[in-house]
Amino acid sequence: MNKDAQMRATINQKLIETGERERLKDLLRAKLIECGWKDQLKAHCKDVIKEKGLEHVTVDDLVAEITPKGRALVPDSVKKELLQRIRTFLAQHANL
Amino acid sequence: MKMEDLPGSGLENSKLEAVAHEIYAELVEDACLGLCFEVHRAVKCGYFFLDDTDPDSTKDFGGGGQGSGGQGTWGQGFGDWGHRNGALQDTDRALGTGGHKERALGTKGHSFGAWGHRGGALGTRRHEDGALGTRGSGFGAWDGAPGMGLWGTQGQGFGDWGHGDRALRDTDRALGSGGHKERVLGTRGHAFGVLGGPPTSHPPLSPQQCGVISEHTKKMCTRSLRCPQHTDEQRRAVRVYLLGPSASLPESEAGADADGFDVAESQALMSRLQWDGASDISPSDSASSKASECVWGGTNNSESRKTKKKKPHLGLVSGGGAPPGLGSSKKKKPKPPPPHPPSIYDDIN
Repeated sequence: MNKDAQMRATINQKLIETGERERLKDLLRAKLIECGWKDQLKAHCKDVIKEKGLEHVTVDDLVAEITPKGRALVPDSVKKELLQRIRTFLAQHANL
Repeated sequence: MKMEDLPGSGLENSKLEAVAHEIYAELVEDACLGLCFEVHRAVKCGYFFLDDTDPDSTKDFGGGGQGSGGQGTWGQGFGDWGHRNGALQDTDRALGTGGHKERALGTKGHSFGAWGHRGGALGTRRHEDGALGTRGSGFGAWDGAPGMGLWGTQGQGFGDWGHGDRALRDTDRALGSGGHKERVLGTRGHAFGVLGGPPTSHPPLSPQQCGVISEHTKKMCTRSLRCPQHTDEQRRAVRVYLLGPSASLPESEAGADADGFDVAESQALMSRLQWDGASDISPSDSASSKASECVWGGTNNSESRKTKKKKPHLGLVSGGGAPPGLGSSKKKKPKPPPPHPPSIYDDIN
């Protein structure tokens, strides 16, 4: 395992151990709901479902259609805030 | 590798930035996946498009369980268990939406708990014309007018039982002969205490039916009025008890007998045989003839026989004179004793 991969694994482990990952997830979810991201994606889901058919739609279909759009629809403010929190975390733990 | 080993101060900003972006991307992907699963589940469970429901149409269909009659069966406003457009609606477990303005189940203020707890699945089917049926674990579904009886009477605003259409055919136990105008086991108000056991075990009493309740099977005899196994007395007893003192056996049946079988004679013979201690027990319905009063009336076998012998109508009238629910609702129904053998007959004789 090269050094980069090791570093990433360590950071991930630390994120999980400290519970920061869950906190970040909750924060992101709350922000996304607040800004209407979820509603937008749900509307898109409805289109997908209508297109595929209620009986035939699968999780894979939804993931394939929704995930790219979900990434793109995250508001910049939310993205910045989250990135800032991650950076802070990294900085804190890197400085230990 | 420890965090301390991370080249925190020495790590290039780009690397740190890349890691941060990677974590962010994972988080966003998690959120997307969560949404996809949620949506998929909602779709498969059938509530995804509920949000699209037009509130006006919901109100029009009596949604929310507050039909014209007020609360639903369990006071929770389950709504109308039916469907307006004529198609039968399966409501296995889903609490029905839409449907008639009338309440399909329940009466105001009266507890149908005994009915409600049987089986759990309510599966009622309903037709637009009021025909009711049951499916699955089979409840008697009925239209309840406030304060009305159990197996309703049309005259008292009870549901129409069937009209002999499709819905009736769906019932596990034929729930009443549709279209009968006369009272079909109509008891007023709080009859459920009296019935005690699961009322579904007694299909509505048709005028053309013997109706004597078996002690063991707790079911009504479904044969015709000429059923040789039971006497007119027993049939009358059941009717008096269930329909009130004014109830009487339909006369036409015997008169319309075309096969030359003399009902009166046979009944007398049967009754003589019974009193003589000869067995009236058939293998199929071992004690049905003895059981009619026991099941709902709260008297046991020997008592009913004694009553019959001394005052043939006393027990019957007292059993049915008062509103059936009131008279004996406080009594506990003793379990019918196992079929006794000859000792009872010896006593009687």
